Amino acid sequence: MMSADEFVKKYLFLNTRRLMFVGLCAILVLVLIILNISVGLYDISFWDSYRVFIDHIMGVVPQTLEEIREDRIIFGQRAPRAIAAACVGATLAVSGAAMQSTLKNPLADPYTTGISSGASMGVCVFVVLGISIVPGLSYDLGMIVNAFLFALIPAAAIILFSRIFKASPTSVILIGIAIMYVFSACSSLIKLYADPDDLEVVYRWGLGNLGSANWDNLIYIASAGVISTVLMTIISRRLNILSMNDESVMSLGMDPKKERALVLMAVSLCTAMVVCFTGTIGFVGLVIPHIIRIFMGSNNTYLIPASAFAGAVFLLAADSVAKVAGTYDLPVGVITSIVGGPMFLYILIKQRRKTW
Amino acid sequence: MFRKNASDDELVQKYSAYTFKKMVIIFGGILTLFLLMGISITVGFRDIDFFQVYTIVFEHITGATYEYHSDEWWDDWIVCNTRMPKVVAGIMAGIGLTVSGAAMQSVMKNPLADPYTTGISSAAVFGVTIAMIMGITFADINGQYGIVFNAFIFGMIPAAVVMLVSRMNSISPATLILAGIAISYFFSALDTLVMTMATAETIKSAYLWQIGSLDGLRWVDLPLMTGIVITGSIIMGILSKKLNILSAGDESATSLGLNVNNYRLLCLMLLSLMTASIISFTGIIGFVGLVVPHVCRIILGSDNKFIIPACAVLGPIVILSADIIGKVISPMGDLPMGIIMSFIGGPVFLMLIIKQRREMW
Repeated sequence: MMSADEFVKKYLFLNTRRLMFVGLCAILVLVLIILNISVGLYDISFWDSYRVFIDHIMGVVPQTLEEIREDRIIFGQRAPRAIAAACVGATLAVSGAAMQSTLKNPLADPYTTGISSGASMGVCVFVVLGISIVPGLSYDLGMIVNAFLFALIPAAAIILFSRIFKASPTSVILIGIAIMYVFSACSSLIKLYADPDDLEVVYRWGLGNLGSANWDNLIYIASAGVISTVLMTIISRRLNILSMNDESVMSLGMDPKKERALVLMAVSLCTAMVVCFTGTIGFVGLVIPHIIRIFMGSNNTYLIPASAFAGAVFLLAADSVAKVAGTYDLPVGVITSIVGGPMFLYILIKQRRKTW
Repeated sequence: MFRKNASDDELVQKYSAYTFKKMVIIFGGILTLFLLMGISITVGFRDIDFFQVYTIVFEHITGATYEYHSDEWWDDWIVCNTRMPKVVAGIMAGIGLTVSGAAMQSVMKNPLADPYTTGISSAAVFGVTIAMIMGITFADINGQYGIVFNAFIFGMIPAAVVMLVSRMNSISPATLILAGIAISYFFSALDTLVMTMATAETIKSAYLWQIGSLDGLRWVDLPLMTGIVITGSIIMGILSKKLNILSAGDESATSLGLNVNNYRLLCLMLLSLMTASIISFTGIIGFVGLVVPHVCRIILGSDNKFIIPACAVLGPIVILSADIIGKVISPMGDLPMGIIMSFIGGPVFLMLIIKQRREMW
């Protein structure tokens, strides 16, 4: 029998370990941002990129032509992309963790449940056809609202089907994938009306790409990352409760249906904000929370922030690989699929002996 | 279905009426297919009307010759050399993929199985990419044969995984298909990776390859595909009675003297080969193998003896219709038939998942 003191000690020890893990991930994020910045067609070394980046932040004005060019490339083009990668990774991983808890489904994430594809469809409708569902908004905002509204369709379908048909976790994901097929067919049809020159861009975008990030749209991506992480951390105790069965949730004084719908809406909104600028990047939200669960268990209070940092690390690394691997800038979604596909298979087969 | 105490005669009569009806439906399908071939050839930039198509084809077969570059010569050339191969390829793809789908559904006892949802198609395409772009083949065989063989070998990977997973206890049909979809994501990503890394190919061409279209097919591409598909379908047709036994369950099938595992392996290899031979030329065509057998089951019941031939007729009808719709909506050829297919197939797939409990098996 463990004494109370020992128990407290053990708990504190575990907590320190968790905090250290999060801290380590945070440091890794910073290192990887610099690494990501240093990779590219124009050759700049790791330390040089670091120097240029810090110099710019400190307000050192570049003097020579060489310095000005390096500053442009590093700070004007590559830095927003790296920061965007971190924020997108965080958003997707947090969304995935939150969805897995609320839907009680180890396979759920914005991609597998079709929410990303719904959002892409919304963007496609907005950009190519010029239809804005809520008129009178600025360009970026109108696009986000469109993406959000379309992202709600798969979210609603999932709630509906899992409630009415009492679908198993796997069936819910299959429904999400079927919705994804329908949406991507619609998107392909809409793409027909796109400018032929833009087609390549649109195809690229369908695979998920961080290349379009710049300082102007970074504000949306960054706020999605921050909002999702902070919000989900704040409600993480509720998420813990929601991952129990509905009767227990009700006995603790919460309305499971309402809460679940709210969480899904929040997730859809954050995903929509990200997907608008990057296209659908798959499996981040699936892979990261599962790896974190292995290290830290399933308490959402730790899981969510740890997922945020680990998601940032993963996507930064994937984007760095994508930049090196492709002669013409490989879409990062390809890398995440190569890692995520087998992982998905593994989780699927191991589903019964899960760490939930 | 049959009244009890019916006399033998009555039973026989009823049974022949029952089969007769099915034969009529299949025959009607063949006629429709013949008409669709004509329509499919008429659609395109050069205006050739419906009856003219049949005349031109007939005259071509009987050996008519025209003055070089005259109007008739062009008509003949366009009908017989550019549009006909596509139509024939469409028919072969339709037969092969749907027969594979029907067989797979019976073999795996899974209403959602087909070469596309189990990842066989994506893996086969990856095999093609590797052979064509990187020049890596498993056998020292040149040209088309090497490519198809590669596609076949890669197609066997998901087939093996799916078979292993299905052996595990308490795996639901949905889980099995999710495993297949995971595999297909993986291979599609690898495919895109290889295509964009190794050559200056654009993402667009990688994407088009993953959607599937009949564009650019010529007569030289056809003999291998046709040979494998026709042989494979005939073998499947002969084996159809055993497919019926297999879908009764492993224990029953074993007790009826069928070596279940060997037989399942044989079927999977055969259908991987058919899929590989088609996909090496057309790219991935999704959902035909899923949708068509289900439609056939709704119309004809689930006796594989009728399902397999009915699929071989309805499959080409669906593929040709999708191709015609694509061409009509977008004359520039920007709308590959694969997109139309996923338009039809996605919702049907959704419906099948939801209805899975009350299935027609």
